[in-house]
Amino acid sequence: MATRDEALGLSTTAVATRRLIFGTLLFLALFAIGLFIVKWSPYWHKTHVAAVTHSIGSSIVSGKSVEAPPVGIAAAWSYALAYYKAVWEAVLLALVLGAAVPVFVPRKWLHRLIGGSSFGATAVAGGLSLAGMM
Amino acid sequence: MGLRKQNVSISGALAFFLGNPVLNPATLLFIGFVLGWPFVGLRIVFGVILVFLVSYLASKFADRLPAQQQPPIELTLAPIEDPNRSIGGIALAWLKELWIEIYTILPGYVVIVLLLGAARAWLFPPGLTIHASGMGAIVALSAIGTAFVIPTAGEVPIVQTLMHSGMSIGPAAALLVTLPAISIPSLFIVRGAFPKRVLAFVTACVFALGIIAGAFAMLFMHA
Repeated sequence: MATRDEALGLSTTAVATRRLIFGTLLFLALFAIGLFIVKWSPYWHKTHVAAVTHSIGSSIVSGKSVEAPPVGIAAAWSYALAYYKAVWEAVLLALVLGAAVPVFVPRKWLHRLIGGSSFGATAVAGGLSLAGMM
Repeated sequence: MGLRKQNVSISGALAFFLGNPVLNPATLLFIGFVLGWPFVGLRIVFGVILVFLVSYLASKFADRLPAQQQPPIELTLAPIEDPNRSIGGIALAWLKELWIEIYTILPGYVVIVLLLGAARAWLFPPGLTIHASGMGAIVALSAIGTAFVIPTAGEVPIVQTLMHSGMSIGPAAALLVTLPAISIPSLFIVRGAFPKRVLAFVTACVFALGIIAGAFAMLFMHA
C-alpha cells in the first residue's frame, strides 16, 4: 500500500517520529496556553495586588467574619458555589490535559523523563509541578 | 491520573500531585506579601520534605506491597504511537479519556465539596481556631487541614483572617502546611491512580508534617 508519505519519500520511522513530535508539541501547547490563561496571567496580576494591599481577598471558610455559617444546606451551597467559581477553569484545564497525557504524549518519552522511581525522577516531576500552580 | 495511566512511577506522579499546590510559586509570593516572609520559609522547607522525600519514601513503600495491590500496568502504545490510528481515531481516544474522567471524578467531587462546605462551622469552630493554642489545637487543625478542601492559595486569606482574630502561630503554621497539600476530594480524585496504602501513608505524612510545622512555629517563630 503506497501511502502519501511513501510517495513523498518519507520512511515509516520518519512518519512515526513526526507524529510523536506533533503529539508532544500539541500537548505542550495545550499545557502552556491553558496555564497562561488560567494560572500564570491571573496570578501575575494577583501578585501585584497582594504586594500593594497585603491581601488576596476574604477567607473562603468564613468570608469577612471570623465564624463560619451554621451547618446546613445554605452553607453547603454557598461554599460549593464559591469554591467552583474559583476553580472551574482549572478543573476544566486539568480534565483536558489529564485526557491528553495518555493519548498525545508518547509513552516511551514520558518514561524516560519520569518513569523510574529514583530520586532524580521524583525531583523532575516535582520540578515540573511548579509550572502547574494548581 | 493521566500520568499514572502512562505508567509514570508512583514517586513521579505523587511529586507532581503534591508539588502543584504546596510549592506553587505564586502562592509562595502571596504568603510573603500577606502573611510575611518567615511563613514562606516554613512552607518551602515543609513543602520540599513533602514533595520530594515523602513521594520518594511512598514509592519505596509501594515496592514492598504485594503485586496485586498495585494498579495494573498498561504497557500498550499511546494512541499517538499507534501507526494504525488515524487523526480521527486519536481525537476519539482523547474524547473517550475525557468522558471517563468526567464520570469517575465530577459527581463524587461535587458531593464531597458540598458536604465539607456544609460542615465548615464544625470544622473551624472559634473555640478551636482563635481561642485555643498549644499542641491540642495544632494536632486538631493538622487533621482538619488535611481533610478540608480549598481553592489554590485559599489557605492564605483563611490563615490571615484567623491570625488577625487571635489564632496563635502554631495552629496557623499547621493549617498553612496541611490545607493546600491534600484533601478528601483530592484523595477521591486520585483513588484509582495509587494503591490505597500509599495514599494512607501520604495522608499520615501530611498530618504529621502539619504537627511538626505547628510545633516548630510555636517554639521558634513569633507573629
